[in-house]
Amino acid sequence: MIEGILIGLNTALSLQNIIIVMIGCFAGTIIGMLPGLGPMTAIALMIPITYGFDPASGLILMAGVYYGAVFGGSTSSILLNAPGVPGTVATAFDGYPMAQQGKAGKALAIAAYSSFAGGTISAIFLLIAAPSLSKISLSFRSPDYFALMMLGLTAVSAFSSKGQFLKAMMMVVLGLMLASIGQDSLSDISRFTFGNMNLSDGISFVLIVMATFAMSEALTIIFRGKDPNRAAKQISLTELGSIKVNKEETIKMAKTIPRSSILGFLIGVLPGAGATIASFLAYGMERNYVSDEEKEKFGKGSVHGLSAPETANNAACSGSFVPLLTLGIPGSGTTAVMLGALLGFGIQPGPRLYQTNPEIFWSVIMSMYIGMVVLLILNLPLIPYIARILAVPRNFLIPLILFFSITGIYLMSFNNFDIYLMIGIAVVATFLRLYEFPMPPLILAFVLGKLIEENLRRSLLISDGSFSFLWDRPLTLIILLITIGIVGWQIYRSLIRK
Amino acid sequence: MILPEKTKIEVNHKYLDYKSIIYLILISIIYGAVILKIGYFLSTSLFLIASYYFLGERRWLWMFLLSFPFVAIFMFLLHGVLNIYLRDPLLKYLGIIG
Repeated sequence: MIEGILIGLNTALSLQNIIIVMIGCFAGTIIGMLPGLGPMTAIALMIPITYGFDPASGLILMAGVYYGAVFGGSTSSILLNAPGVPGTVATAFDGYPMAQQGKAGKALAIAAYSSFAGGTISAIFLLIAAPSLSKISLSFRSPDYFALMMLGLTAVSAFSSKGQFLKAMMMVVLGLMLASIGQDSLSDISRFTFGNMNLSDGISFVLIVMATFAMSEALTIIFRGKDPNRAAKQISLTELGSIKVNKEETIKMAKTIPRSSILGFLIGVLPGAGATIASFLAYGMERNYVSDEEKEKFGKGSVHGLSAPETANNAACSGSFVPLLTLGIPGSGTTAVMLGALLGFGIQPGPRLYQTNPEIFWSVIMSMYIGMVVLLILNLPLIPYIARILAVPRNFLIPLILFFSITGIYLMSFNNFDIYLMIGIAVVATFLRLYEFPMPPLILAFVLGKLIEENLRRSLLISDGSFSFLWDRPLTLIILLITIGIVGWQIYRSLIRK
Repeated sequence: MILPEKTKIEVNHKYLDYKSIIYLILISIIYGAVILKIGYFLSTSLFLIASYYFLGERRWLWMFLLSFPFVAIFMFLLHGVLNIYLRDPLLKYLGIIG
């Protein structure tokens, strides 16, 4: 492991990669800060730029962008009470009241220190957990992978959909349908191409991510532009106050951070749960732990209340890389985008990545950590200046996002058809967003679609066409029972609500 | 599974900006149609200016700065620095890119 860490450090600490991670953090912070745009959009917008990089540098850029966007999301939560992503909603509970009291700088500093500490602790967990889990997951067979992916899709739908499980499952089906377009890998039969040659290779992953995230998010901002409820209540962006944290506040943070980190990491490892649930749970848990006097301050600018969700959401971000790096199965929308990018570089994540491409495996983990250091050293002091990006008029912002999206597709194929297809999917996704259909299940299903099919077919071939592979191995059976349990629980919940 | 969701999503169509979104989609479609013919630089710059204009922007200096020079710098970064191939028949004809 030490050797691996050194390889990772050697790659991640080259001058070129340090500059890349700094640019990534900076760009991610700016994109993540803009209300409505989250880490997935930030990563999607970076994909075309990574075409010119080697895989390790490309992934380092994305890791920087990811952490930058998470930090940027917290900034807009604290300053505007407008969380860019669900994962930072809980940050606004105490961060925004603190900003209203003229302590925006302090709130941002607490958020940054907590994120850094949460990230550091969970990076250590990741260092320990990933190699050992990689070894265990080598014993996984096709039926287990099939069952795990079904569990991932069900869990993401159950947890990412604000109680709208049915809509999330509909998005999963839509994602699987989109993934099945193109030539069948085994029989070379064209599926759902309607005789169009442009569809014979299937729809590209970048196109789907750009359309459903970057482009449709930009269109949604314009579409709902007249809605008075969505107008952000803005505090002064020029006077954020001091970023110094006093001794009493440091002691409070020191108590909160360890427990929230452990909780966040464990929740992040679970497929589908991720940063949102981790941050809410950490907020709730912290409230139970503190004294009655402190409890009263929750929702009014409590240090514990701000530090807990911030620590947990960053810890969960690192945790969500565990299933991606060890099993090759993303547990969240963001890691699904990362998986798509990895596959684009010709790298298949999974237990063998640790052995075949150790430099990539370790440099991604190391660069995640370097990204956090960069965020703390560079972004925090610069935040009063970066925050001014929030004042950029949307008249300029939206066309620039559309331009980046279309350029990404143009660079990939130099084909008009792909641009039209992207615009079409983005329009549909904009309307789906309006009715609160969640997009992460669609992306995850699209990325996993081909893998699910491959593993299902392989399992069927091995078991001679019989579906007995679903219960032959205890591991497969247990995973499938958990999946059925989640579906059953969702049905039970909606019955109770009726 | 076929259970209706209890929380009903109310969308107030009065607040939806259909005009701007239709303009943006039309401009994007036209951009997609001409990008291969007139080249990346010209089509992208015109797309940006048109989008700024239809979203209500009238500060012409900013509109210009964030279109032609911006796209030129972006192209230089992609083509010149990152070595990512950008197809632009017009600039090739003019001998600006190889």
